[in-house]
Amino acid sequence: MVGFYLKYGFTHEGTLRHHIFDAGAFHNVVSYSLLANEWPDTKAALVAARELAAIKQQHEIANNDDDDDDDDDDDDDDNDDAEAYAKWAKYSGIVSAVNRITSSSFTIRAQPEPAKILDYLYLGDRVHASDPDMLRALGIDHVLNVAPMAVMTTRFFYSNVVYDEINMMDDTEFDILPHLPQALSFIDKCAPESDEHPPQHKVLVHCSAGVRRRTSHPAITWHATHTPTLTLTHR
Amino acid sequence: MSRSASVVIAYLMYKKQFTYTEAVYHTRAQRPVIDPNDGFKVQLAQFAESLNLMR
Repeated sequence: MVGFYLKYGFTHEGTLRHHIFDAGAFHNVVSYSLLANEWPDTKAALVAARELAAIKQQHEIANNDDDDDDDDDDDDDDNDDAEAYAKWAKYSGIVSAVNRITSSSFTIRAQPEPAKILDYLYLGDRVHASDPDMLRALGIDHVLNVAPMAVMTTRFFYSNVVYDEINMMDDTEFDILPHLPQALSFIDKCAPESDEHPPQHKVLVHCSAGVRRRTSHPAITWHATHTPTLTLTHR
Repeated sequence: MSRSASVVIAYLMYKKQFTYTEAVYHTRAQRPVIDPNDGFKVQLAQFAESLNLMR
């Protein structure tokens, strides 16, 4: 898969050595990224690879008695490309909406839908907030925007959505505690009477960031700050 | 993914009586890219403490 990233325009940003501790061993994380303005070229290359694979396949059916060994190698590459295309085609809309996609040897960091935290509580980003059709499809009728200075979707954007905003800064010095009562009571308006009741309303809480650089490896950051052994390896 | 995630984590602690760690893991299981900044982590811990005092 590493070869795939380089072949299709990803830039190798670096290797975070022993960045994950899993199943009794340390693992390196290799980070690759693709910027939004690089996506069109990558997409074109993937489309071309898919078409080439299809042409070759037809050609091989017609010439079935060619040198077998070489053909087998080609087949593997072509299948990889076709699969890769299917995987990345899904993200084309998202790549244009966010600044960058960071990929690593573990995951691709872009989620097409907001995350369902509770039956009535969703967590998302500005891409989700700006898609009224998707919100409607998910049954989301309340939106809490905690980054109104950073996104275009403020109260005038929505119809048939109960909207509230709290101007929070993503700054370690920013005091969030005074804002929690307003935020939590807004979310709680969507809570059903009890867990047994299906939710009558659903709320999306979002700020601006969808995918951003400093959260490329968040699961790991958490382990790093909360597992003493790993803290030592990091500092 | 700091501000909105912090609000969601606070809500889970308030409504579901989750500890800070439980709330973070629950949220991250649904959305791996969350990462409250260090200042928010401290404040969320304070919030958890004040919830405990009220109970």
